[in-house]
Amino acid sequence: MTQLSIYDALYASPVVFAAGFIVTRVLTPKIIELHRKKGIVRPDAHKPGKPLVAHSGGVVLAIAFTLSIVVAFTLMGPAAYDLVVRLSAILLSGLICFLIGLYDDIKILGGKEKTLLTLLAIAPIIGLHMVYPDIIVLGRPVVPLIGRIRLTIIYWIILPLAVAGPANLVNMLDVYNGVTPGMMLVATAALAATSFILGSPLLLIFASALGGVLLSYYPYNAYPARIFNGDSGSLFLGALLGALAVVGRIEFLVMTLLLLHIINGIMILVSFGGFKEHREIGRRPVIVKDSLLVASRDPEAPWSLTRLILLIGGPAREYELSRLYILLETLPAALAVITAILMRWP
Amino acid sequence: MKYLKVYVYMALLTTATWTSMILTIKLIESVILLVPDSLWRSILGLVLYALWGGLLIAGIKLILSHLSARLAERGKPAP
Repeated sequence: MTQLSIYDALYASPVVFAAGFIVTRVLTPKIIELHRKKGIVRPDAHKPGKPLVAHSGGVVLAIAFTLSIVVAFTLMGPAAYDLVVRLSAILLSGLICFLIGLYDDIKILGGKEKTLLTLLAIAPIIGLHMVYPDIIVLGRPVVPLIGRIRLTIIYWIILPLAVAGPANLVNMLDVYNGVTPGMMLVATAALAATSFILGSPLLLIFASALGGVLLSYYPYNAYPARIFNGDSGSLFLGALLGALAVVGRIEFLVMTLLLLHIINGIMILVSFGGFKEHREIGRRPVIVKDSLLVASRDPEAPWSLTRLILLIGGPAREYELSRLYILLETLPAALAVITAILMRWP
Repeated sequence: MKYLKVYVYMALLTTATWTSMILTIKLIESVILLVPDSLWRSILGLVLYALWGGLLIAGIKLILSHLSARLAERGKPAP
């Protein structure tokens, strides 16, 4: 079987990037309009007057990313057979989480039901691994300076969480305008850089497709948002990263990219005592006072990364916090690049 | 400037988390290698990684309850 090199993917990547960018730019205003007509809108709780905003930006992200991947398949032809299989597994896992999120955007699911349903997103990866065991290889992740670790039984036990975990972690931090696409854009830039370090065409094509989509989508979701990502968007983006980690065998690298999400997720899970929807939370970790976000001083209030940041830095406006989060994502991104360099270490 | 403080704190937190993850995995892998390659090695790996997860959650719980207690202390009116 012909193996595609990073240089072969390099020719396709600008076209894939442009396809994602253009489709998103054309589609987003139309989807916003459609949401308004159909009444799929939610109040923006952090702004004065709580304006109504289109709710399911995930629709744009899922369509645009899928079309970019189709463009990549068309450009690279039969030589990229293994890449097609691996990208299909990633895309299918992402789309399962997108559909769960879309159902939640429209009908509302409980926190536990949503989390349990996202466990299904690993199915395409396991299915394609059974059909193509030489292309989708599972098990024994690489950790820098150590090599392939001896995760044997536990790997298969935690495998269902490999996609559901990142999907829900990204969803948990998707609270303020622009945070999720902004942070994911920084993560995608880091993935593009690591693709050259690791010589991985899969990473380059993935980063090009997602980078084009997110760069074009970000202005619509940035403060003041004209469209929310919805659970459809945040679950989709998180699931794509989780699936990429498993299929690309870069579990530790993706875990590094999601460090802030992991810290936030653990703080929430430990202090909330499990998965809970924001509707089910009594005391809030962050309070809105005159358009300022203030950390709760209530010792009984649950913890989140935002509460910790606001306690350290003081009250902030939503756009300041959003930009700060994007800036903070450069830390895990830098660590991910170092991880990739160390993974190549002899 | 106040965000520089947040950035420095978060840089310390993320780097410390990342480094401790690598070091703990290295430690667990070294212990696992002491056992001959068999089902027992896999079971030991399972136990050690599960123990790590449990200790991590317990540690974070402790830190968060300490932070909450300090907030409660600060919130008390002066005598």
